[in-house]
Amino acid sequence: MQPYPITAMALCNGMGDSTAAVLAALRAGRSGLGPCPAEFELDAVVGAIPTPLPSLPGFLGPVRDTRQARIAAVALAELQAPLDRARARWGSDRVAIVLGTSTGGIEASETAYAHAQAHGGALPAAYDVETSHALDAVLHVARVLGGGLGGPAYVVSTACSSSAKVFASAQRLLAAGLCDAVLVGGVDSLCRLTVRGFAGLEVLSSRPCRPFSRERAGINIGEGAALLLVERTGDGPARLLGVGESSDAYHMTSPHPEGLGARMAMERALQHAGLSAADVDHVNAHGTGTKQNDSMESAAIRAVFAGAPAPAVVATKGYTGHMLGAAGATEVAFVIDAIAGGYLPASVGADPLDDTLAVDVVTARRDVPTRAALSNSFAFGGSNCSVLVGGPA
Amino acid sequence: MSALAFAVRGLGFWTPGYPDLAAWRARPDTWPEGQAPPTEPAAPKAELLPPMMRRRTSLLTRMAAEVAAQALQDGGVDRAAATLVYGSVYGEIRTTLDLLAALLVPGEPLSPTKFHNSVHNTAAGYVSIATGNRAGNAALSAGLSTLAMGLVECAALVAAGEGDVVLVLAEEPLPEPLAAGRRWDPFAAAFALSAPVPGDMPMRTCRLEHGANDMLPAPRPVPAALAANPCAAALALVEALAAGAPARIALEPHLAVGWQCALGAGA
Repeated sequence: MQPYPITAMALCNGMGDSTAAVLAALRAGRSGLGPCPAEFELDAVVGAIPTPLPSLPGFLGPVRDTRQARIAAVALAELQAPLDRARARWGSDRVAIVLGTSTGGIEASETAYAHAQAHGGALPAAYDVETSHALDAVLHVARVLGGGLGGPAYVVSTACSSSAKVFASAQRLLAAGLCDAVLVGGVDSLCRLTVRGFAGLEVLSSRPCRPFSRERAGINIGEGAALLLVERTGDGPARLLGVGESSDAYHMTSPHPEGLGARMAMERALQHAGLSAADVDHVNAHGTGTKQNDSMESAAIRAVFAGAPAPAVVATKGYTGHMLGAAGATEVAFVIDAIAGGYLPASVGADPLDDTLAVDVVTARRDVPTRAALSNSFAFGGSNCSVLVGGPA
Repeated sequence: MSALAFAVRGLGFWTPGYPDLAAWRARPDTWPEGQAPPTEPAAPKAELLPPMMRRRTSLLTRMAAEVAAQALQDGGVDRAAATLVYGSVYGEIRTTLDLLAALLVPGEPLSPTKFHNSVHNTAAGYVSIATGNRAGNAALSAGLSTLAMGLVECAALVAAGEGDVVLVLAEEPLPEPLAAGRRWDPFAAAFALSAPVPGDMPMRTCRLEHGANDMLPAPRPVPAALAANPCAAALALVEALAAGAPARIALEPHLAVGWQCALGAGA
């Protein structure tokens, strides 16, 4: 594929409510995990945005003022200048929106359903399933707060690979000439359904998660947004080089034990970019903190890099928790900062390593350059995606 | 903009009372007094899914599996190799409601099966397992524009040389209390697409275009309960493709200006 520049990015998550705060924590090896906020009435370690979220502007209406929309608005506010520039350069109808989310406004539906049960079936006045719950509700918020974006707009929702797969869609929309710029990314909010759902699957840890460590005990849920601008041409800190997608065709929640689908996704990303494993210096692993994932993902990385120098493996869910539909884009942004800053972030919690995995996990920050890196995301339904990012041309 | 052209190789259709496209096309526009439209079968067979797997799935996933299988067969497409793109506005909303109810019982663990069956790509997961398909797939949502955006994604996949691509649209009724009075009949449709080649039937060759909807002829009427389904825009497209005459179909009839599909436009 033709590489496309990534010209801007905005982040907020458990590490902070601005890109600067998040990246400062990443560079310093400071985790954003902590106890679950009291309003969720859940006993869990989560990656919750540490500051109160401002309400949406009143003109969007109270039925759109959900936690997910507020998180999206925080990240959109940081992208005002690049979006203004992109609209002026390409025309608003040539700027598309492709966003990933796993749960959309389910957090609002949890509150609304509880209210209805207590009030004879009546929903709260500030709730409407179309604007508060639906997966596409975030598109309206992005379209309006983005200053009026008129290109194709859709949500990709494939659970935990959602906001990795948006890069594949964006690349194809640009290649097909359907637009000249794409606002991509992912937004998910904390909610009871996912925390208790993963507890039901018995993979939730009561302590901060420790991917690739022999002391791992499961995952934590996180929330946040990562929004990026991919353009036909322009200057930016990184380029989108290729995306590989695959399906395990194996099980709804368990990954293929040898990591077959994960391996196919990485190999397809390399093939898509016309690169080989030897061109890749590091892998941002899916690294959720379960033994199953560590074991199959390590096997897949070893297989892809057989015959090439072993890549450095970075796992960043110890900073953010698993942000589900926002995880893929967040980790692509972490890769971009690593490329721009010439460093590899520490995989917090990974030490002491599980030596049986036989991959080079970065336990302490290394100041080394990255030419290109793969960022992995794997999901329920066996949905896999690997995004290949490189430095500027 | 030739990148936006594709050929439709196969179609799938399911709604209660009309288990396939032939049954749907044979319906009368009005029912004589004393006769009512059929309501059976009320559930799709979804034989693409093995019985043990099918037992655990929702109406939405069964509808999606049913129409996907119909379109794959109609188009003679390899089900293990095609790229499937799923579109739905509310997805697995009835399974999600079950989970919302379970959350109100303190300490009750959520059912792991219901939890993984609540994601938007549930049908994508089950169908890929049932068919051994290791291609990438996607599950999209774009409100009333879900058909249009699904076709945009598929047209871009076809242009990228991904071979056979199948768009699967499915929407089940919204449950109360979330629905707040909104009611519609369940409905699903599927379109097997690939790049146009010389010798294709011209009426099965489509081009995506953007334009004003006000001058387009009104499509054949459909029952109100079906017209209210958020994926109902697909009804007119299915009908026109099956009829095989040149046509221009509004993919976003709720908008004054939106995406359209020009049929019989040639490659």
